[in-house]
Amino acid sequence: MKKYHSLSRDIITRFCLFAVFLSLLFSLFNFAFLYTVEDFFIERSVKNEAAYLLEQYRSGDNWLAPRKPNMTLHHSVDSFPEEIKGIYQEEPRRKEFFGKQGRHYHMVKIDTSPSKYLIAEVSEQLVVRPLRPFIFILLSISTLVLTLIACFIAYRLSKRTIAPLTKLADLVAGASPNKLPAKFAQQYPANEIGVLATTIEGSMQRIKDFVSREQHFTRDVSHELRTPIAVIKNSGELLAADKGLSGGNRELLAQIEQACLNMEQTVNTLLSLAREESSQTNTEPVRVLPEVEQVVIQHAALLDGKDVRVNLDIDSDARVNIHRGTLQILISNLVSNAFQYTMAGEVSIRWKHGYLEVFDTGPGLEDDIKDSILEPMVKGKDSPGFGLGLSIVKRLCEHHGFALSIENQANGMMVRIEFNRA
Amino acid sequence: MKALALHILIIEDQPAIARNIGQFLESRGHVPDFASDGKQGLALALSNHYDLIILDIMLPKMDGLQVCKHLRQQAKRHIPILMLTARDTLGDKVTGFEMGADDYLTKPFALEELEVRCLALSRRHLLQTENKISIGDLVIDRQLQQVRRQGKPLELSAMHYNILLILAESFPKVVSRTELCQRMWGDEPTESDALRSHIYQLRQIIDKPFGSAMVKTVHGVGFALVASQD
Repeated sequence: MKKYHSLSRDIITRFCLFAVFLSLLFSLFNFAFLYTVEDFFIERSVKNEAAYLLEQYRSGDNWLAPRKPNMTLHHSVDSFPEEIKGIYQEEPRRKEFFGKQGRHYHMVKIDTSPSKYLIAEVSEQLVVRPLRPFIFILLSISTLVLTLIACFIAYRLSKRTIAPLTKLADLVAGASPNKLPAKFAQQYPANEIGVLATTIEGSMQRIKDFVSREQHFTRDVSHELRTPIAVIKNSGELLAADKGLSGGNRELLAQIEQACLNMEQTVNTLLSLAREESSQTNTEPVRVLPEVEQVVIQHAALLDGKDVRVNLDIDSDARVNIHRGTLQILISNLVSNAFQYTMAGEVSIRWKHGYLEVFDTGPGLEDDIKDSILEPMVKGKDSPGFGLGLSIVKRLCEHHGFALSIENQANGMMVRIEFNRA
Repeated sequence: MKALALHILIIEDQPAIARNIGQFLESRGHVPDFASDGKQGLALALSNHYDLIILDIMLPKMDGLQVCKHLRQQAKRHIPILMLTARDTLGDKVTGFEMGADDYLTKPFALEELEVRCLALSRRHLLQTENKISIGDLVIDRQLQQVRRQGKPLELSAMHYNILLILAESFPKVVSRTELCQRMWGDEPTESDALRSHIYQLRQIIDKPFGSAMVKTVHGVGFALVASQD
C-alpha cells in the first residue's frame, strides 16, 4: 500500500534530515569554537609581546625588537606588508588578515602617540588549519554514523506505530457485511491504535447484531404472516365455491384472492431476502426449464376461465448458477404477475443467453410510471398491488447483481432479468 | 369415479385453518376429524382408523415433529402423513421427512392442492397393496400390465403403457414435461417432439373412442389424468 510507505518513509526521512542538520550544526559550532580558541591564544601571545615592548619602551625610552622571529613592530602603516596594507586602510578596525600563500597575520595596535603596530605572522603556529582535513573527516563520519542510527530508530518507530495501523486499516477495508471481523482488538498494542481497534471491533459487533436482528425479524414476521394469509386464502377459496355468489361479490372476492396472492409472493420474497447470507454461498447450476414448468403448474389456476396460451421457449439444457430458492422466487413473481393480469392472449416465457424474458399480452404499464415502477409504492392507476411485488423483485435482483428491465411493447409488456454468467 | 371418501385427521391448532380445511374436504365427500394440540392428535391417531393425517408442526403440548416420530414408532400400520407448516427451509423439510412425514406443504396453500396431495398420498398407499389403479372408468392392472376403460381392454405399446402409468401414479397431480421425459428416457436430451407424438398416440387409444378425455395437457408444460366422472 502506497500510504504505508510514504508515511513511514516520511518519518524516516525527517529523522535522517534532522540528524544530518544537527550534525552539521554542531560541526559548525565545533569549528567555530576551535578557531575562536586558537585565535584567543594567538592574540594573547601577541598582546603579551606588545605589552612587554610597551613596558620596555616606557622604562628605557626605546622600542626593542619583538622577541619572536615571526613578529614585527611597525611604526606606521606604511611599513605594513603590502598584502595587508590595503586591507587595513579599508578596514581600520580589522585585526586579523589573510595573506597570500597561506600567510596569516594578527595585529595588535599599541596605544601610544603615535600608535605602533605589532604584527605577527602566525601561519606556522596554526593548529587548526593542518588538522582541518582530519577534523572534517572525523565529523563527516560521525555525522554519517549518527544519521544511520537515526534512520534505524526512525524505522523501528515507524514499524511500531504505522504497521499496526496499516494492519487495522487492511482488516477494516476487507470487511463485508457478511464477513465482519471479530475479536481482533487484543492483537493490537495498548496505545491509541489499540483504542481505535477496540472501538472498531465494538462497531462491527453492533453491525453484526443489527443485521442479525433484522434478518430474524424479517423471518419471524414472515412466518407469522403466513398463517393469516393461509386463512384468507382458504376462506376465499371456500367462498368462491358458492354458486349463488352475485357478480359484484364475485368481483370483490377476486380482488381478495389477488391481494392474497400478492401477499404470498411478498412474504416469500422477503424471506428469501432475509436469508441472503446462505443464498450467496449455496449456488449451483440449476436447470431453468423444470423450474419454470413447476411455476406454471403451480399458478395454473390463475388462468382458469381465461383464453390465454402459455408458450415456453427454453432450452432443456439451459442452466444458471444461482441459489435454487432465489430463482424460484424470481420466476414465480414474474409468471404469477403475468398470469394474474393477462385476461386474454398469451404469456411467453423465454430463456436466451443468460436472460429470462416473460412477455404477456396484458395491459402493461402506463408510460409515466414505467420507469418509476421499480421504486417501491408506485402503482398503476388501474392495477392494484402492482407496485410492491415488482419492487421487491428489483431488490432481489439488485442484491444478486441481476439486471431487471421492463418494456412496454406494442401488444403487451415484457419483463426481463439478466443473470450474470458466474 | 366417486372420489374415495377419505377419513382424514386434521391436527391443527389454528381454528380458522382447521375449519377451512375441514369444510373443503367435507364438500369433496371426505370425512374430517379434528385435534387442536399434539397430545390429543397423537391419542386420536393411535386409537382411530384414518386414511391420512394432516399435521401442523407448530402445535401446543407436543409439536408436530414429535407427534410424527411417536406415531411412526407406535402405530401398527403406516399412516400417510402430510405436514403443514409455515416453515419452508430445506432444513425444515429434511427434518420433517426424517421424522417420517410423507409429504410437506407450506402455508399458505391452495385447498385444491391440499386435496390433490391427500388423494395422491392415500392412493399411493392403496396402489402398493392392490396392484390395480382405478381412475374414473380407467383401470390399470399392474401385474398383468393390462389397461381397460369402461371395461374394454386397450392395446398399448410398452412406451404408451409407461407414460400412462406415470400419469396414473401421480394422479391427480400434474407431471411436468421434463419430469415425464426424465422418467421415460433418463438424462438423454429431451425430444419434446417425440413426447408430443407419443401423447397424441396415447390419446387416440385412450380418449378418442370414449366420451370424455382423460389425458389433459396443462398449459403446454405438463400432463395429468382427469377422472371422467366426478
